[in-house]
Amino acid sequence: MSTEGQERLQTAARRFRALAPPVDDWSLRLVDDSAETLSVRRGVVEPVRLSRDSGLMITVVEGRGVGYGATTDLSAAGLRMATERARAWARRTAALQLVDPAQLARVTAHGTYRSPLEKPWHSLTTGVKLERLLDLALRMKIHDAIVDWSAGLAYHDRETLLVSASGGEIWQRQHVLMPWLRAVANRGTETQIRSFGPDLGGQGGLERLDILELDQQPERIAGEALALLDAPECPSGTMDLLLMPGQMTLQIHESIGHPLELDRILGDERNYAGTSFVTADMFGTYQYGSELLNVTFDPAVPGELASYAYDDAGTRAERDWLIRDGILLRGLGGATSQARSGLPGVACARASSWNRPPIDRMANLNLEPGDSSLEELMGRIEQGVLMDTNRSWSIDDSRNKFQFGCEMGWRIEGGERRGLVRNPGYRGISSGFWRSLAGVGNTASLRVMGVGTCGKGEPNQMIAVGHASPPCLFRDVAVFGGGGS
Amino acid sequence: MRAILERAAGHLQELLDPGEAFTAYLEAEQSDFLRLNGNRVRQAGHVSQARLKLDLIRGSRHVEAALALSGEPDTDAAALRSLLAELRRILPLVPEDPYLAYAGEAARSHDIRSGRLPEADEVLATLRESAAGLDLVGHWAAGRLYRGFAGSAGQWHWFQAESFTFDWSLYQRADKAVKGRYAGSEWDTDTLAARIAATRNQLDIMARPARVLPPGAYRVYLAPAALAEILGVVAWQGFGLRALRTRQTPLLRLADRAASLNPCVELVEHCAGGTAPRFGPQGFTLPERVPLIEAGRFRECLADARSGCEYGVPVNAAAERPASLEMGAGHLAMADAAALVGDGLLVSDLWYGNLSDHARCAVTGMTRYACIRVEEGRMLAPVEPMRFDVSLYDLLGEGLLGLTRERELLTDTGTYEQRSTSTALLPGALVGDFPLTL
Repeated sequence: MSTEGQERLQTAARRFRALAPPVDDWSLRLVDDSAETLSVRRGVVEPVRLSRDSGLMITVVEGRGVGYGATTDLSAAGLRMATERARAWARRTAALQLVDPAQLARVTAHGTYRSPLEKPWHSLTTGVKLERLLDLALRMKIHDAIVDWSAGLAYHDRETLLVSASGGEIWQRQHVLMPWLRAVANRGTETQIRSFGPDLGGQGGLERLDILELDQQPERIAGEALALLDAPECPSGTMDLLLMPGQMTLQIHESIGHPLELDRILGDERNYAGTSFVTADMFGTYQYGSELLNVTFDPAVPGELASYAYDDAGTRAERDWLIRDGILLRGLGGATSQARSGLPGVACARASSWNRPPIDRMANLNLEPGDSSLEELMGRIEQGVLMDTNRSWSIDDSRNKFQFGCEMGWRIEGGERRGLVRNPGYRGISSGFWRSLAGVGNTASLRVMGVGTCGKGEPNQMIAVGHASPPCLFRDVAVFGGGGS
Repeated sequence: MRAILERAAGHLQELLDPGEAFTAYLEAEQSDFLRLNGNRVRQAGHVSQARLKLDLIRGSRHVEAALALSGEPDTDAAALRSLLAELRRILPLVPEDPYLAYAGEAARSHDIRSGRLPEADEVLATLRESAAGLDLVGHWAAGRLYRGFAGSAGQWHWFQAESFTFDWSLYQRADKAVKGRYAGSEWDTDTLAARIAATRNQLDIMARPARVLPPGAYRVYLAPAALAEILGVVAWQGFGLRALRTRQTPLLRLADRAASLNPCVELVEHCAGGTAPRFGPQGFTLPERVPLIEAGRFRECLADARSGCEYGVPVNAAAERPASLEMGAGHLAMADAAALVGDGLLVSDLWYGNLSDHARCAVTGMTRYACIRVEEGRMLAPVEPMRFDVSLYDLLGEGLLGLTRERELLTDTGTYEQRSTSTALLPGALVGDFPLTL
């Protein structure tokens, strides 16, 4: 069954084929994106926000030149103008191209993809959804010290059509739902925040709210924010660290995902996002982490944020091991980066929307489960801290020296939780940190999460990526609390 | 682009039912983007886009929408009709909004900033010649930016600017590089060539073996770009009225008068001095200056339309973070930076800052680009990347030894969704004990 968006994109694609320029190669990527955001704050419904975005990018190869033109104008005149601009860039850069056009990915596949979807967004009225958010938010106002409380739902319905001179045609539709709750507690100049959800976005419909047990979170979130006001600062020192999935997502993202991006290794990102401590000679031999470290690129996890069948360069996406038993095997690079570098990669050339060209991105980057329960991991800690929910992140441009902070921590002594601690943070160096991995949670403790705002590229692109992880135990980590160290 | 907004506003006016009102805010651009690696072209192209932010209002109920406009009149008219029907379907389902606020006066303004932009071929030729033999990685973005506002009460504001940014890194080896910037509206080939030559000259010192520093406190000179990274992190929530009233600003102790900064610290949102439009999405005209910190003390917040209404204060910002931040100058000479440091570091840029401790307004981040070890006032060698973690109350409090009399206008090169219009005008800072932690 075709949708209104699909019809619009197909019509523009047919129009373009009739006008296709006499160039060596071309591809056309069209995006139709509908979004809706509902939120309530302090008992008041915030403005309901709808978004309707449609546009296309034409990429042409002409001789040794490559250029793109992107526009919101899907008419014949708009297509002609965008094509002319792409061709002008191709001609003027033909003698200066970094990449041989023969190395560029070609779109030859035919295929489709749809997100899983049980309860469509529009199966409930806006009014019903707002009532539910008002109730969730109200339940967070459990004390006068809760000074700000909010709940929200963001929904995206994105259709992408990719067609090419080679006859390839790929249509994909992703439904994404992102719920959130947030409670702010304050006393004097001490403010503590607990949140639920921004890192739990995923593909699907309203059924995700039940999967995430959203209704069971408000009092817990607010209660933890309150309790943090009275909690002692996280202890400082070198100790064991147990990271829950809510922090593992960021740890995986920053110190495995980004360093493995082939375009960083190839130098494309050196003026903005940075380079990588990983070098081409490391693939196949480098001990990235302890033998407990197993990381996959898996675009087929149902409901994970960045699942798809083909990347935006038209390459079929499949599950691959990036790190197995601690050994680095494969990078995060699409077909073009693979051809440029001669390194193994995955189908991860992605664009944030129609107005940006594809570059190497994470998609679903998952840390595979081990065999320990959470209790067993805790039981192996004599002196340490458990941390959950990222709130601060910083890492160097080679993705090596990092410092992260979390919303909440628990002191662990003698294998048991001893008390809540506030402002927990830790720092380390990627290349050594993963070798201190001493325990990995089992399948039952695995959580599928994600990062909705991964920034990279010039011009800049913000994109959503999925991360699944169980809790993980690390030995001898520099841990600290508020007040500096 | 102006015609697109005029047509949209005209259509909306015709389509309004009795009792309805609207505000419409256009964000549009026609931009060239050129991405370079190894002084060769990695990606190049053009983006033409227009997005209308529409608020349909009936009494104190309203629904907002963003709509991509094509510029093709019939297509846009049909899209607006369809969107309006959808908004009307939702409107009865939302409650009255006590914080709905939009400009009521039929004000009009026109701000057209013409420039002299080069042909893309000229940029490429300059780069090919000036950066010959260099490992230049960079990004050129240029073209026209548009912002416009139209309201059903007859308001009309139009902002249009021709501008460019070129932001580049010259790599000496691995992670050893220097940073260069050239931005504005009046292109000059010789200026770009001179700036590339200046960054080329800095490569000599980056070629020396890098020093590995032990963690500790160092006397440092923070160049304006380095200071911008720290102030950018603090300002993200620091000056917002909503963040203050809900006790979330990292400057809470400053606002509560439980802490103060060095009396020489002056920060102002100087809308009239930047390159951002003087109106916001709800049509309010913004004041020329909003004093944020005066004589080291917290002065005013930035209030957007919604929180201005919620907390009963006048609107003074399009969003609750600075778009045209200015810091007052000091008395030090930028050229004397190495001598002033004596033993310590010259820091050209900081990177990936984030708050590490809200209560202390502490910011952590990394050194990047030219971080140079200085001894006896002489520049010795680059330093391996180091992490800092510093409280603003220390950095710009007792730790601040002085600010330079020269200031640099730093144009935001950000291009998330669209090219930014933000700027920061900042001096350099000499700091006594700058903590490096890893």
